[in-house]
Amino acid sequence: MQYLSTYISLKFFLYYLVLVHSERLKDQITVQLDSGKHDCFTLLNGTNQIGCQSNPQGNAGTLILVNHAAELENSSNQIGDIIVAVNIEQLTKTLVDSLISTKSIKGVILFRNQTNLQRTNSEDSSCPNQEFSFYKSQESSCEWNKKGAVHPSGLRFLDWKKPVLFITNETEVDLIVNKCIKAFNFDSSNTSPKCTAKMTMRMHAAGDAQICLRRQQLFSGLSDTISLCDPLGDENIFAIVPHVSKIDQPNVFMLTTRLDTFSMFTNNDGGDVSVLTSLISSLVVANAIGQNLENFQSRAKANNKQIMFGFLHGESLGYIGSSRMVFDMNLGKFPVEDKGFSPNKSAHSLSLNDIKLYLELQHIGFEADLKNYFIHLDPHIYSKFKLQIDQAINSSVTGMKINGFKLRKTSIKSNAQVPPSSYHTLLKHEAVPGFIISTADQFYQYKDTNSLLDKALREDHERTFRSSVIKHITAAATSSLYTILNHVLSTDPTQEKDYVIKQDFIEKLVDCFFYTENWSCSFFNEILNITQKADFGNRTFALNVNNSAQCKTLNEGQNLFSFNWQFDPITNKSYCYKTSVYRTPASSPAFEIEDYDFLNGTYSTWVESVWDPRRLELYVSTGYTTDLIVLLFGILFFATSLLVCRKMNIESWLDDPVLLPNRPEPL
Amino acid sequence: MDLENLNGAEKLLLCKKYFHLGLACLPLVWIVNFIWFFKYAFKVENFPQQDEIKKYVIGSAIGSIFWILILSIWVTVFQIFRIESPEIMDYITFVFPIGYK
Repeated sequence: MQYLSTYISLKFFLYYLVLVHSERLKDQITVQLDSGKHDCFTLLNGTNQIGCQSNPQGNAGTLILVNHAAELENSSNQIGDIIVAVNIEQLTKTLVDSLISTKSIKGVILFRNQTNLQRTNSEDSSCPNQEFSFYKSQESSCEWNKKGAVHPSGLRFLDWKKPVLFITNETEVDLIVNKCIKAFNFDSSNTSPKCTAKMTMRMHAAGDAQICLRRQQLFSGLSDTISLCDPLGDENIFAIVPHVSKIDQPNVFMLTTRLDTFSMFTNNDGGDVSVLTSLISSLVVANAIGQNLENFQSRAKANNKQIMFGFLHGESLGYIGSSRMVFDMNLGKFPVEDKGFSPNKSAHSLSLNDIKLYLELQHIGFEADLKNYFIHLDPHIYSKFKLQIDQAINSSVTGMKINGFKLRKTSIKSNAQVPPSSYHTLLKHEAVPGFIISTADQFYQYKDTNSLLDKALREDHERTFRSSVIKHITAAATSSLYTILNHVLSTDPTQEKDYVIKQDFIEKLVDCFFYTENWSCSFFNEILNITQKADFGNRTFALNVNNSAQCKTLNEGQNLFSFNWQFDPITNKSYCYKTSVYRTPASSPAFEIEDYDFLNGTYSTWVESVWDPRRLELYVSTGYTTDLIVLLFGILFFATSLLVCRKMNIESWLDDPVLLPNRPEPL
Repeated sequence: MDLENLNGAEKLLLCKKYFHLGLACLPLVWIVNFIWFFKYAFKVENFPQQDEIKKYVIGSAIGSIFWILILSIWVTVFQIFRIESPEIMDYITFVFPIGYK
């Protein structure tokens, strides 16, 4: 009995040791790098797929570090699969092409350990949105983004057929470069253990959008419903001041900016110049008008004109928002569907010939030494509406000049083109007079538009550009405001002393968008967290509404206004706001039209693939021959032990000497 | 069931039953029939029902070969055309590959 108790207590002590210090064998061999959130994903359109794909079990290969394309040729002599680690700012067309075409490269890991001040990182093509351009049939060249594009077809639009991950975490980059590659893989000889990486990022969709959507639909009846892809879509936002009901006559000035940018990587938060600077300028104009709302509304009504602020989504991937807007206009569903309410409670459905002037802001700048802006016009439209456009341009130029900037027309040759913008969608359907204000002259001034790295201001931790970006935004906003005042109120904008671009509002927005981590500034938190503040307020507009539920009910029975319960940070109270702000769907008409031919290039057909969670693991492997030797040794050992054990009487080993009875026990 | 214990007439009955069962599009039944009764149809010395058993065994063999041929051709054709023209083939596919065209 004494032996038994010692035996049992020893067993439990061993269990304790093992459990406390136990680690899965897999964790002892591999290192998981899972803090990365920028992984290349797949998009599909009517004809092909773009982006990355990995095997379901992952792509494994020996890690090598590459600095430029020449090094890659030397390393590709290595036998076996390799995974390339390269600095993202060293990507060039030749390097990218060899990374894609070399079959032995099974994956790419990108990192960034120095900031390149040249910043030519655009993932867009040399001619953005070329398939949807108004000038597609013309022979003239389109090279707007030639100086910024990493690859002329656009880095986003390549089919890599292998996983590509972008690692930002310093520790992980150090692990990969120093502790893995430099420690194990530095000599390219085939001996010795090599550091290997395994990347998994499996996409569910393949082929093209039609195949994927059809299969998803056919799957849906079966037990194991699995999602393959989703069409891209979001919402456009329009604000029409003053409101246009069915009994009013529309004569609309449209001020447009886009809301979206793209990257080949997930969790993209780039877009400083692609979106934010022009978006802030437009918001600032709205604020200036909003400070004098009654005055503006009465004068505009008297003049029978309106301003429509358009914030369009999905523009960078085939003009999704603007093409849907025009599609809805043609169906009479813009800005809202007709619900049969009385004419003074229904919004007037607008069409393209109600837009009498169009202005789009693009690529508003931020450097102190950049003082030139350009007006882009379509030559035929300009010759048709010369007087009207020239008058508008004069106001824009004045607005810029007052702020110390120079705005001039680009040279109007007969084959001049408007840069890629939502204006193209309008021109395809109707001759709408309008122009674009941009820092681009013949090429884009900014070379990292539509890229993960379009964060020049977000990374400006020393605040070098803060005062100059405020000046740029003020200039762009003043220019737009003067054009609006001149057209909508038919007045000399320099005489309108009440309409002021508020500097503190610009500063608030600039600080929130560019200089606050994760956009979590107090201003945004206040206006977004309306339920956390007091539910009482009494400012409506001649209506007595005390809480958000009552405010919501005002939306019924009419579709001219939208009533929103909103917190006002200035007075620290919530009110029911009566607005003529409309949210319209921004998903491509290709998914609305029955039996749409996806090969027809009229509308954008992009869908996004669904993917499995990504994994990146590092481990040291010894190569194929060592594995084979170990296997053979194992088989040999097994065979030998079989032979040996045949001779021994195993059962006698299992008898416990303590418990073995001395004599047969009675049953 | 051990065929040794059956007499000739019972063997014939069994073989016949299996042959008729295989006519209901069951090629595996025919293959089983062929293998099971092969010895008694060709290898054993003559007994009264052997000729008829021979007929059924050969019939099963022919039937199995026919089915194997048809199914092989169909599988090859399906796999080739599934990738080439997915717009038609997707409607007769039951399991879709995920991540592959």
